[in-house]
Amino acid sequence: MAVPKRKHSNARSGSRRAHNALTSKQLTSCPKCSTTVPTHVVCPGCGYYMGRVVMAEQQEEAAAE
Amino acid sequence: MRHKRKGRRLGRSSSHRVALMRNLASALFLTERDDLAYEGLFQADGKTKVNPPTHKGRIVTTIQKAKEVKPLVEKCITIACKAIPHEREAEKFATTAERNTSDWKTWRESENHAKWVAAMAPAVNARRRVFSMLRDKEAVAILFGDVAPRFEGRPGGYTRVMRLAKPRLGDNGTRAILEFVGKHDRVAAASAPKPSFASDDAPAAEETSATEEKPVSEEAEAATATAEAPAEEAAAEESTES
Repeated sequence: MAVPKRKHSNARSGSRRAHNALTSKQLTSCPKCSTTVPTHVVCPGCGYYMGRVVMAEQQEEAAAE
Repeated sequence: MRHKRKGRRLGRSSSHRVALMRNLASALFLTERDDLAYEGLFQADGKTKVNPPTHKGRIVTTIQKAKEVKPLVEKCITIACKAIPHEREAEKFATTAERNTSDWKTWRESENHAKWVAAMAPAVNARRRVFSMLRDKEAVAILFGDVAPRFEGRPGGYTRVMRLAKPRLGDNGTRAILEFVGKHDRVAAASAPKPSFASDDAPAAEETSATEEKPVSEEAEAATATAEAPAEEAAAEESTES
């Protein structure tokens, strides 16, 4: 049966994981209510999206349930 | 190789996927039904009332499902829109008399009835084609009666998909709104007043500063607006605005 000849060094594990980093979500602030929101989404605070309100507050909450 | 493989499988078998798409498309059309239709409707427990949707013409689903069902919805609307001129043409030969009255019977025997049938045939065909896609009579009726007339003359782009910020609680899926355009459209931002050239005899310094600043700011605004907009929606919006 094939067995490892040498100990797998920490550096080897580290180099393998060099490309595994996660990227954080791109955040922006809502131009209407200044809540921090991800880009290209309807604002969860005020329902604002691209120049108009598409969703009143209580509807956003209702949809979230 | 991935050649010619289109669409998402959504973790479903073919038949399950087709059924899902039909249900989603029908659900979107059914949101337009009259509030009275919800009177006396109860959920499975037999006690909780079924409420009409808070927003007509809108469903909330995952972004993937919304994007998948969008083409189906739009195809249905296109077919329905093409039937409208035929229905209008058939109106000329129709009768207002109630069914099985003597007036109706004379119309039924007359030449007008044959003409009406011939004129209606393409519209009936369109209804059947849409029904074969949706398999829901009520949804088809709402589409032809209510939704399609709103979009007559619009060259596609009847729906829009918008992402929501909060993911689903159970599986962290990205939620999105799928809705008909026409409501909640973007309002065109009021453009800055154009510099007038009437006051040419005004001091030269003022004139140059005004003309230099304004076009630059306008262009910058337009650039950011188009960069933010998804291409399809931008095209759709522009056509409504113009």
